[in-house]
Amino acid sequence: MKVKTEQFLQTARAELKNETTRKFLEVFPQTLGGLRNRAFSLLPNPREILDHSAAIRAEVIDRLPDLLETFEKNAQANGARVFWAGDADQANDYIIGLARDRGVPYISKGKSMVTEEMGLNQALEKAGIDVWETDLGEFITQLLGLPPFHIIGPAINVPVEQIRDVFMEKAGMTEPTTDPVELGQAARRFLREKFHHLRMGVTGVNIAVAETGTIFNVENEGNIRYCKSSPQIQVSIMTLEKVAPTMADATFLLWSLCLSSTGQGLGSYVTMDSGPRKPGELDGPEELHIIILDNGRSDLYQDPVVREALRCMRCGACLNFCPVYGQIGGYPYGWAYSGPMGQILNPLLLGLDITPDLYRACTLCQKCKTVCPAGINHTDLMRYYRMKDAAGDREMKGRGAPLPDKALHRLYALTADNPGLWTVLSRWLNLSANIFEKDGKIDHLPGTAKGWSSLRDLPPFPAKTFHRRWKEMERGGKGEGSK
Amino acid sequence: MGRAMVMTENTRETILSKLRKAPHKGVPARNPQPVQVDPEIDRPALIDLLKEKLTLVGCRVFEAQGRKAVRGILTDLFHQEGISRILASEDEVITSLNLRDWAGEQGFELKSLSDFETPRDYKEAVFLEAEAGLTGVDFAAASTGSLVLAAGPRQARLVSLAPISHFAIVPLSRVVPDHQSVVERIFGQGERPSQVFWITGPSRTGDIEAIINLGMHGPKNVFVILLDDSTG
Repeated sequence: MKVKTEQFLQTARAELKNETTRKFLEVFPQTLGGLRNRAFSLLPNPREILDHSAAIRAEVIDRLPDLLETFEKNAQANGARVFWAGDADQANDYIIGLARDRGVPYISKGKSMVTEEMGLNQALEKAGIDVWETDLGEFITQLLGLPPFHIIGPAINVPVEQIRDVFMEKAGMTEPTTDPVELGQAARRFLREKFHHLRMGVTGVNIAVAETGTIFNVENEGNIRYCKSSPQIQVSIMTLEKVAPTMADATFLLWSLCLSSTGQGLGSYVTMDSGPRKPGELDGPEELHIIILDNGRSDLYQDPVVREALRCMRCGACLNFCPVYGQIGGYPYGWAYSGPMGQILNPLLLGLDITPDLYRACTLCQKCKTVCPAGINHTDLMRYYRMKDAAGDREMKGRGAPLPDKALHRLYALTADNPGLWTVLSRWLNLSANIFEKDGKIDHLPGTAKGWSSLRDLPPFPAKTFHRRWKEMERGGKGEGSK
Repeated sequence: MGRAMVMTENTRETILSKLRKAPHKGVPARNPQPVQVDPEIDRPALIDLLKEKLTLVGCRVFEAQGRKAVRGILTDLFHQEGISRILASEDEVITSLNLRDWAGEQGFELKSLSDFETPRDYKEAVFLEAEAGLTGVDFAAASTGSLVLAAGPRQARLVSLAPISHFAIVPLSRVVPDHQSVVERIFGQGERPSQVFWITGPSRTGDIEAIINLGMHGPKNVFVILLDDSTG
């Protein structure tokens, strides 16, 4: 999909004024977050659950190459075909090649973030192959050409009138309605026919089990089940970090994923595939293709700090608790992943140079970290990206700090190292700031400090610093701090 | 796809060797996995938990003493819901109910998997004709009210998905405490089913204005009949 991370500020500004966005952001993230909190609060051991799933994810990242090899071996033994894709193009080409080779008239897709990352829909359209998103939210965003607003509710912010119009135009709806349930029924009728005659279904993968070569998907609508049950060919795409060591681990992760995501003990449907349909079965795919996608991950894996971002399971809990996401919604993040999840993943996968606002649009409140079932320390990672960007790290496409910043930091280092200079300069700065005092406070400052002071009031600086008063007290003076 | 094969072999080696050459710090041993349900729970409490969770996720729960009672409940429910065309799987639970004669007597049109000559006929029936899908279950996990079915020649996937109503028969002997009990039993030994599917309530979405809409793509109604099979 098209990368728009550089338009972060612009989009965020527009979204702050968008009334529909405001309406949904006031309700939706809090509701999902509330469901998550309630589900955990009803369990006797919430912290243990989060810690345990974080420990599994930590182990996965450390043992990644072994687990992938084991997974591949077992998936092949189950009869699946495993294809390794270095980048999005290779994965897209494989799917296009397969669709052409088998002559399928169209493809149906289950909701999958990785295919957003790959730009699969665009690649298929370019190749002249029809593709239908089948998750209701994804179906709507596809018809309208919108990016996902929230990982759980991609079209949650789209007004019903807009859905009505596009369904009338493109989804065979005959009777106009703005009732959400009736709109859903119209999509059901339209997509049901697609499911019935489906010959190739494409899905993502939530968890891949090394021990058994099994892949898991979880969903609420049933569209993924159709994509895996009705067609002759099933293609499931996993990014390489989606693997888990054992069936017991994977099943546990699934639970913590669902709890974190929507507060459900389990999504309405979970499917665990170990190979294609067997002789005698009436449905299920004859061919199961599993694509393992790298797309830059093995490079970023080299850095032990950055690597921890790969723990992410895409539950979306961090979005619901983020004060920044809660104001601006999903669009400004400009790519497949939004919220704190997007702030740590997009910069790694796209480069620090085109995503600087993402890792800076963070208050470092750490709420995301406390709800993350994978044990990711988002804020530490974002600080690390800022540092790497300032240092001009080449691997991560850091830009290097701008000259004025560098000069300022040099000056600071010099001054902080020299007590005499520090005293003189700080005294000068304090006195200069006091020039702007008005009614007992400094509410604006010029130059570099303008932006900072526009939101903050300072009390005027006292005439004597703490050190000076201390010294005067020691000498027996009264050390009053009056101006 | 010859070129793709060569490409994937090289790509595979590149990816794996990069992952291997990166520094690995090792990970400490993990604590034991937290459990979903107290392992000491007794059977009656477990069944109660299952009923509570099934209801919570939106299933309608019925209880039957023996197989005859199951047929009675089905008769009532089908009449009540105006259902006459039923597609049934042929798993042990369903076959043990001897539904053929019953359906004939009651005037229901009952089709089973082996009635279809081709997968195409079966798909026509499951997508266009069946008003209800009827299945047994392999297990029911009490911790989350989940029905677990393993695909096979006698358990097709779409029967519990495409018709707007799903009727599931759950013998109490197949009720287990939690997810781990299910996967230990299914994946612990022997051949793995091509697909294991878990059903926790009806198909649902909240994708338009966060309004909950049941029966989005799958069944809107899930009826669960708990069969007390302890007396044989």
